Amino acid sequence: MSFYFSSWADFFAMGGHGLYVWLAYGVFFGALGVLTWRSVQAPKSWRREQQLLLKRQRQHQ
Amino acid sequence: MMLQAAFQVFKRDLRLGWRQSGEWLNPLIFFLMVITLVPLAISPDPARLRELAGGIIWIAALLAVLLAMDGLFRSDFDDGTLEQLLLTPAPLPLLVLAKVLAHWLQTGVALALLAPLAGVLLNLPSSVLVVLVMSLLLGTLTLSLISAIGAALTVGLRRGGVLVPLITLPMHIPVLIFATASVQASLSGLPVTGYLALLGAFLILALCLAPLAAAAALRLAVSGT
Amino acid sequence: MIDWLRRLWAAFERTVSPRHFYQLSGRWLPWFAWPAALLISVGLVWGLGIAPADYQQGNSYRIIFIHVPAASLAMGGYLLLAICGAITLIWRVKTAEMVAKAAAPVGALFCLMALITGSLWGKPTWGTYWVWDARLTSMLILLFLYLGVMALQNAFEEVSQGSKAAALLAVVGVVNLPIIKYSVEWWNTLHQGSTFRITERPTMPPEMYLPLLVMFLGLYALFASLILLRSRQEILQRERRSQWVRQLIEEPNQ
Repeated sequence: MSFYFSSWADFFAMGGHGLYVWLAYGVFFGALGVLTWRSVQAPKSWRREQQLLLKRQRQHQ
Repeated sequence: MMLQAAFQVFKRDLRLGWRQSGEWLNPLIFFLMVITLVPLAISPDPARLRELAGGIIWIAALLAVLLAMDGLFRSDFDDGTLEQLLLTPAPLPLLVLAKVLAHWLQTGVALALLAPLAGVLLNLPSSVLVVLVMSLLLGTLTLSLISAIGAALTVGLRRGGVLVPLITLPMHIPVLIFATASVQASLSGLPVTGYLALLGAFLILALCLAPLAAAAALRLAVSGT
Repeated sequence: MIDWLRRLWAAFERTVSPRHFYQLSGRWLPWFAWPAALLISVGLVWGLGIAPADYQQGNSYRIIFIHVPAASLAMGGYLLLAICGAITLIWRVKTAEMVAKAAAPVGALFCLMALITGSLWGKPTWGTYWVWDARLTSMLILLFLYLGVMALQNAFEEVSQGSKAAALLAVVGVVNLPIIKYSVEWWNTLHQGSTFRITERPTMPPEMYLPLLVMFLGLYALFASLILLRSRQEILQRERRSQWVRQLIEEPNQ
């Protein structure tokens, strides 16, 4: 197995279809990336929030 | 005994609907207005209108049915009648069916009777009008049954009416496809019995399953969780 | 005998309880997440850089490496919603409600991605961004089905009520799905005429088939990871008043 494209320029050009291929992959992984990041972040920020909440509750008691 | 209760519900809904003329009149006026909008927006050319007439009339009818559906359970929910219905020993799906039938007589059938007028406005030949009316009779009842599920799922929501089209439109698509196909086939002089039979099959399926689903949805809505 | 059945049922209920699922999913997550990252990376290099170009379509065909798995996941995701829905309605398992709430946006996103990548693939290949063929039209309708379920899930003040309503909708939707697909396919054949048909591809050579398989596995693993991750968060939020969640919050680290 070897690389199909002979140069980086060829790789980005994708035989003239570069715009479509890279737009498709970009949108796809961009959207998935955002979803993944949000799914990973949500527990962390929620936990911080809840910890503050509990602390405040205890202070008022 | 169970049919008695269902028949009572049926009669009551017919009477109430008749009294509140706004409820059943508005969708019909809406239907005619949409039909009027099409030549204004697209073209008054008779040949073009004839080509599109089946689809236009059916879309207008579908929207009118959706418009009318929101109120199916709402008023009963608001005044507590719905809870009473849930408590009666009669099977709830049967009562739901009675309500939908009463509602359909005032909307779907009315639309089917208005359809020849719309057909004339859009230049359909009279031979096609018969098929149009039959497709509407079979199809609007199916649409009403499916929309009843949506109405039941959203009955407790303040602005649930907006959701009913979103929830139920995908499931209306098969009816729309084959109903308009029957009209187009009639227009081309092709046989229509197959399409009408398929619409009949959809109707039977909806008659069997939709009341069950709607009844389940009503129990969810009334019980809270 | 009845007593033994009752104990068995109680054991089953404990197993699928939100708390137990939270613990289980925590152990499963790395087994999906790491392979996902690996497989997707390998698949990307392979599909974009190593696989040869298609003699008909040139290099634009490489979009299928993301389009086909996305379409498959879109349909699988809805099936998952329907299964969770059935479990919710029949056995009243709360965990199923939470998994459905977590999974719906993921499936919907893959559905949208399938449509967008399909459109971008269509333009260089067949000259148009959109064509009303059976597959694309069905996928568009599927997106609306997803949006309906998500709208119901979020429309109610009482979260559990929304989840149950959405569960019913998902089950009704999955029953309708074959009818819709059949109708759309039939409708498409009726209107062939001037429009071209997106023909089935001839069987792919292994140089193209293998990277597709790798991306398939990688994206499925990513899908599973996202669902596990989001289900855990949904469980924590819904059960935040319970003892075990409070203890979890107060621990200095996970």
